[in-house]
Amino acid sequence: MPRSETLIASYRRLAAGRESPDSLRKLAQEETHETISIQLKSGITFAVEGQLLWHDLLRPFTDSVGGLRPGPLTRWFDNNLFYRKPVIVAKLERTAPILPKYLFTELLDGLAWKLVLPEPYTFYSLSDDQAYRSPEEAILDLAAIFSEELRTLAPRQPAILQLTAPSIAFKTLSQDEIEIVKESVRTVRKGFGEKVMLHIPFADASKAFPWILDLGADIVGVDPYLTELKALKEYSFEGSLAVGAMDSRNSYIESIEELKRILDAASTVEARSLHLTTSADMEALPRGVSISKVKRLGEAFRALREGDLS
Amino acid sequence: MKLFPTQEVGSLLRAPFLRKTIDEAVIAETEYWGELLGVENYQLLVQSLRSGTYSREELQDWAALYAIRLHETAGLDVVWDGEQRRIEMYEHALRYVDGVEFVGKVKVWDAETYNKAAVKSRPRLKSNPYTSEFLFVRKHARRDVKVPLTGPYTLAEWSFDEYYAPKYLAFASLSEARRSAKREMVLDFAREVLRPIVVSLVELGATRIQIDEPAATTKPHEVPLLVEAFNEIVRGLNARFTIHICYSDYRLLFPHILEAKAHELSIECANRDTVKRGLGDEERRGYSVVRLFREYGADLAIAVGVTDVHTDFIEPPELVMDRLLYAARTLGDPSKIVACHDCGLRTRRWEVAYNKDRSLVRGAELARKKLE
Repeated sequence: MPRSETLIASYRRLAAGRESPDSLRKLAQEETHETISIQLKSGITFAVEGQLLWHDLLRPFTDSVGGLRPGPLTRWFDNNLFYRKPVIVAKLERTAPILPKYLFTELLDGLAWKLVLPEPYTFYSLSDDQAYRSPEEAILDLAAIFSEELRTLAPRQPAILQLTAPSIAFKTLSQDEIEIVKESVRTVRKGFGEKVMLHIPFADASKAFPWILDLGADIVGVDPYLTELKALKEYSFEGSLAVGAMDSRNSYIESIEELKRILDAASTVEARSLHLTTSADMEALPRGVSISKVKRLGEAFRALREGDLS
Repeated sequence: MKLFPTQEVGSLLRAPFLRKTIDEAVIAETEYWGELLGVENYQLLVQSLRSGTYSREELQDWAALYAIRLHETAGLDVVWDGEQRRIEMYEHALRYVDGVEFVGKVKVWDAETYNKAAVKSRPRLKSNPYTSEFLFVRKHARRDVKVPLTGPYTLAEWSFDEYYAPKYLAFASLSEARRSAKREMVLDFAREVLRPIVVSLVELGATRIQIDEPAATTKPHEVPLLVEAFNEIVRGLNARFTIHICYSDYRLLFPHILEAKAHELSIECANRDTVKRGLGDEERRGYSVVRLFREYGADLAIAVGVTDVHTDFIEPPELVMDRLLYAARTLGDPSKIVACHDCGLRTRRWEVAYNKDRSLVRGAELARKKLE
């Protein structure tokens, strides 16, 4: 979720030495509380924490994992959004718990929530490796670190772990690369008993089919604005399909009818169930727009659930 | 024809007296630059700053004059007014467009944001501030003038779409329909906003116009759309047209960019180069992109960035010379190389901007002498 202008201003004051880390954290905590409350009130089944302390999806790890340092600002896929490219300068090692520093887990007690992490192959693809001899070794080290991190969240583990994985569909992967992706996902989920979702924003997810179905993911998420849903009809899902019908890269608020039309197109795909979601995270929207989108998502969910729409 | 002509990209930090508070330090700075740059009658400005008798418009005129003189005194061949009347390249451009509405701040990175607009109806030019801006610069400039304008692809790519989207949401194939909607949006910005501005400027006698497209390679498959939109703007017009593209993966522009009816492509290179002297591929790695122009037989002049606008380091003229000579040798035609900064100088103090300008000019002179 995007930060409010107040929180952004607080980050700027912090950088200028005019704000204490404690007061920024307090503000971020209040905003996280609001973020969760809005989702719950809207009827979202799996709320996200909002990850407001994360400058980008990779940054908590870029800043905290031994062997990584932040590199140059780099374009985030095909968005007008930039992240610090992680530079791998030595073997990757976890020296201390990371996620508890970056999540307000105390606000998640008793909630069925969704945690979003980068999928390890995607993380590596977005990095500059100056240390490892083989990508496989680095990716599996990353996967092991993510797995250990999940354990730090007990007893408030998420109901869904979403691994955001655009890089696996940004180009056609070789068989060797596919094997690395499979092994790394297995490593991440080792010891994690809840559901795992592989989400593919910013890319045509059909490029990762059918092998993505063998990764053991409970849910596969696609962006229907970039993925032809009819191309997925030939595959049979044992798991669920999450359809990003709510466009998170545009301020236009889709009507319930428009969302339903997209879901109808997705319902021709053979899957255990359909999840209604956003096409990607909403960090590049103004906060007000993102809240309107969350509310509409809840309204659409209720309307579809209650069969208000034919 | 003069080899390695020198030019800047467009923006310059606001003149000191455009700051919110006018105090003695600002007045001293105004006097310093007025005298150094030989700004005619600058004492009148100083007087009005002291007495508080000035309007915002008068200060903007003075700021434009100071900026023109800064580039001219440094010795540039082609100048502009440092965009002293513009807030920045996106928000300023859209202030004069009907059909768009600002919807809030969005993140670019970390805590950096910009005010993003949504297209709510077909965009149309509401009013045209660029003609009076151009007339002022032409009246006062003693060198050639190049007018920078934000391009239609960047305006569309950096905006939300609340007008075209509902049309395509009814389509069976969302991805195909979205492509059509984006094309319509970019071409509307080209035809309804940029084209009328450019036509009016050419009618008034503008001979050099630069279309800024920093978003050019955001979506690589849309480079042909950028080219189509550019060609719509310049169709049948007689002027020297430049496309400025910075901080992009230039490989993605090829081969489509060759279809653009442009005379010149302005690119950022110094930012990705080393500061070591020499003409080797390693020292001059920031200019490897020039090879692409040669390989594709591009009939374009290339305005290569030979100073990095994101650092206060003043490139020695000898380094500028090496960069120009390397680019000329790589392209195989020195007459097509223009000496330029990587991008606008808005983020640099005037002292730094002025010294970068001077280095650019002196480096180009050294390079010229080497080839004579």
